[in-house]
Amino acid sequence: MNRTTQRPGGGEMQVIVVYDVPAERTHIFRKLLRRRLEHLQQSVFFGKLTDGQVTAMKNEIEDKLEPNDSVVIFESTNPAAFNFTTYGSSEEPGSRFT
Amino acid sequence: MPKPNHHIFADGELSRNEGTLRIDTLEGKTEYLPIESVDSLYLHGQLDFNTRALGLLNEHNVPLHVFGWKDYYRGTYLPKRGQVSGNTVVEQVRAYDDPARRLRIGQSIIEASIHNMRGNIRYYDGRRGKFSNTVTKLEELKQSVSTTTDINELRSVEGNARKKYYECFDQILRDPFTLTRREYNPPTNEANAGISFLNGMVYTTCVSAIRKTALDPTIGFVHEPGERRFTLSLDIADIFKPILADRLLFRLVNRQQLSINDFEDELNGCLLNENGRMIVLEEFEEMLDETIDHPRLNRKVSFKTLVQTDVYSLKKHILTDEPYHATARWW
Amino acid sequence: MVQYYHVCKRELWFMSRGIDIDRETTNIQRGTHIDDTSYQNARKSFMIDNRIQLDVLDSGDVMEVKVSSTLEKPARMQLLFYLWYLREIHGVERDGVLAYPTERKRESITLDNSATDQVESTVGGILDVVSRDQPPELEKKPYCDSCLYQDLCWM
Repeated sequence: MNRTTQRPGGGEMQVIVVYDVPAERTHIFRKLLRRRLEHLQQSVFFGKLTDGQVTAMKNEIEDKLEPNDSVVIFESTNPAAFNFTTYGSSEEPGSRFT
Repeated sequence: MPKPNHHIFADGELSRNEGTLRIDTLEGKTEYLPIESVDSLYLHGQLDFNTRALGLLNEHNVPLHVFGWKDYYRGTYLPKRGQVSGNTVVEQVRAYDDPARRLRIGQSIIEASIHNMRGNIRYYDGRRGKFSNTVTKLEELKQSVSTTTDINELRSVEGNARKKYYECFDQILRDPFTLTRREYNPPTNEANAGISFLNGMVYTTCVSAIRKTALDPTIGFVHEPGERRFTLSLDIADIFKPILADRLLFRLVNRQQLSINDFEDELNGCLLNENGRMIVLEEFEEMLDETIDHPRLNRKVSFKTLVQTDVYSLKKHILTDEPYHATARWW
Repeated sequence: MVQYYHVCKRELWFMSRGIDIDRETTNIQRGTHIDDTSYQNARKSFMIDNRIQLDVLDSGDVMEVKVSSTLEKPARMQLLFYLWYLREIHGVERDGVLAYPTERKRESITLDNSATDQVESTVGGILDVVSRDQPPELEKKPYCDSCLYQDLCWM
């Protein structure tokens, strides 16, 4: 039975993922996060994902995890956008234009 | 909310890297696009890419709309479908080939299209001029759709409606914008250039929506297959052009977000310049995310979803004979 | 099919015709991952007649794993159908276990006489639905709003 827990159009959330893993393992998490989220800084990712995408991402992280890895996922289903301020050479997160 | 589109204006190179799309711009910047979080990709700059990059778009079902010199629409790379539904295409062809079924679908499309033109004119009646005659005329034309007996007759009703509709544009548009008459290929003045550019965006939005169904984009009902473009997309675009293209142009011009300086003259034509295109695209993408209450679905849906559900409704009609609800502005 | 029949006959009809909507962004992920990771040591999967896939526990019971206990009846009927199929087609009598790993719940299921009647009327009902030319009529159900077919079904 393939059912969402949310309406087909809904179930969206804003997500920030940060990680701290041994240098030789960064590429593993970078790769699985870059496919879904915007790579903001070294080990910081941001974006909007659906319930299904978040679940798939968590499953994939769990599969890759080793004892000394540390990954934190912040998620908010509040539809209001995050406020953010950028300094220095940061680009505005969430831009649809390159 | 459907996934957002991404537009690349920069010149440079697209490649596949660590399972996602990498953009290296000529200015020396590198960006990674989250391929699983993109609906459709639009190329506006000069970009090199190879089959591995296309393979990635294939795997993630991301259509690629390519715009060439001066942002003329060049074409679309449609990912190959994972599951082809032969049955859907067979039924679609049957519906096209049966004059009665084809006419019925065509009538639904044109009724909705005229209804949506009329909605715009009624909105501006009293605001930018007196259009009550046109509103009445469009209502009559909409009524006459159901009495048409073949596609040619239907198309001439649609042509009449569009002519009446465009006649109001000069008054609706703030000076110095004038349409005079609708001309494309190439557009001859600023208003025509704006409409052409936005119509192209509506068209590609429809192409992407159709790609999410098993319908064949080349088999349309009002437009004849054999025209060079995806004729089903042209059909669906006719429904949405008044809502997504014309209304936005009116707003951008009348609020002076877009000025005559955002266009440039070309050899016997006129086009948006790069600044103008950016303004229009940002507003267009924002509008696709705007939501309205949907009475049939009993929830808020975005304009982008509205295009999608229209195509689903057509698909269901073709496969089950349940009524097709072409999107007629109700809000 | 059995589950769809008990959830929504219209959905069953769409399914049977392969009428689908875009499923890129779904929770299919969740179901399969729980399937893959729960009780891995204690069960074996069997494909029977190239048609149904069964999970059999060391105890010999047939197990059906579910993400949550909402829509409990469809899952129970699915499991009963497996038990019925084993008995009628292969002459093997087994009991079943309905498991909800995320809720740490398990329930024993037996194919008694009344369950047999229910399975047989379900099989007849399914044949009736899928052989119709048109989908069963639109009918508002409490879970329509969470159904993936909503945008196709109600449009």
